[in-house]
Amino acid sequence: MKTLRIVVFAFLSAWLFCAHANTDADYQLLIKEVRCVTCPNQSIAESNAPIAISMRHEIQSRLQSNESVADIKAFLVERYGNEVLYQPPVEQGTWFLWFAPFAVLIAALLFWLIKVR
Amino acid sequence: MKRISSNKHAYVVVFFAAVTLLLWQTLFKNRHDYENLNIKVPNLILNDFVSEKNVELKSLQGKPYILHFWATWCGVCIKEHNDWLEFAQNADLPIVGVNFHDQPKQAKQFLQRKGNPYQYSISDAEGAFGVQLGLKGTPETFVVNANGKIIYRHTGPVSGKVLNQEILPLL
Repeated sequence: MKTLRIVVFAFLSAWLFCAHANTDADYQLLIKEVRCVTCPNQSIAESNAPIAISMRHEIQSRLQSNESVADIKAFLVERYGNEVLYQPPVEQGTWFLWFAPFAVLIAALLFWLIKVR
Repeated sequence: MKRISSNKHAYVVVFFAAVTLLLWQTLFKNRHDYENLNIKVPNLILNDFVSEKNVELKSLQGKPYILHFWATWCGVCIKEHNDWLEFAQNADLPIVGVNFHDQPKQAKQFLQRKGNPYQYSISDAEGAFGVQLGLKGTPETFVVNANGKIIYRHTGPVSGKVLNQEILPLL
């Protein structure tokens, strides 16, 4: 009976530790991926702006409620727009952001080829 | 030679036309427009630090109202306070002041000293309510319709002109 209690306690402790470790890892990753809306050059991990502090708390609270990273990102994007994420999704509103560098590179290559010919 | 040159020009024109079209698509077709967002004011119960009673946000539904986020540490908020006092005297609608990331005691003293334009003075000391609405900083003003949905937002200080010519016509 004593052995059983020790085993159950050890199992629960390990499970809680892993759950917390995963949540903590997700939190650390997520706060670096979210832009501070007051100081856009910083992530909310770096910023001390009041809204950045509040956003960190909100993310932490949602992760602890077992909300997924994708859902939390969707929550933030719904309120702040795609620009709140350092890596916005590829969709109509962000085509220019994602494809313009390649378009410029291709254009430059074409221009060079034409010039060489 | 002339043909290569005109082809080169054609490529450049086509390239810039394509970039302009792509830019148009992203800048104007997919704006972060509050008319297209489904943000409803959450049904929270918050503390009014002036009356020292709880305010249930759901009870405000049924007619439009203004949510104004401010703080005593926010210099711009202090500067525009008189505009809000004047607006509150003339406007026939509730203005809910949300004191953001501040100390309620300090905020209460400020309102007692300078005048209180708010029908309700709510404390959002942790900023959780602000994040729910997509707050970017203080001062920031949201106009909420009778169904509890945000229909307008103004980031930064408001002047009498903004209050009377942009916000009031929405209500």
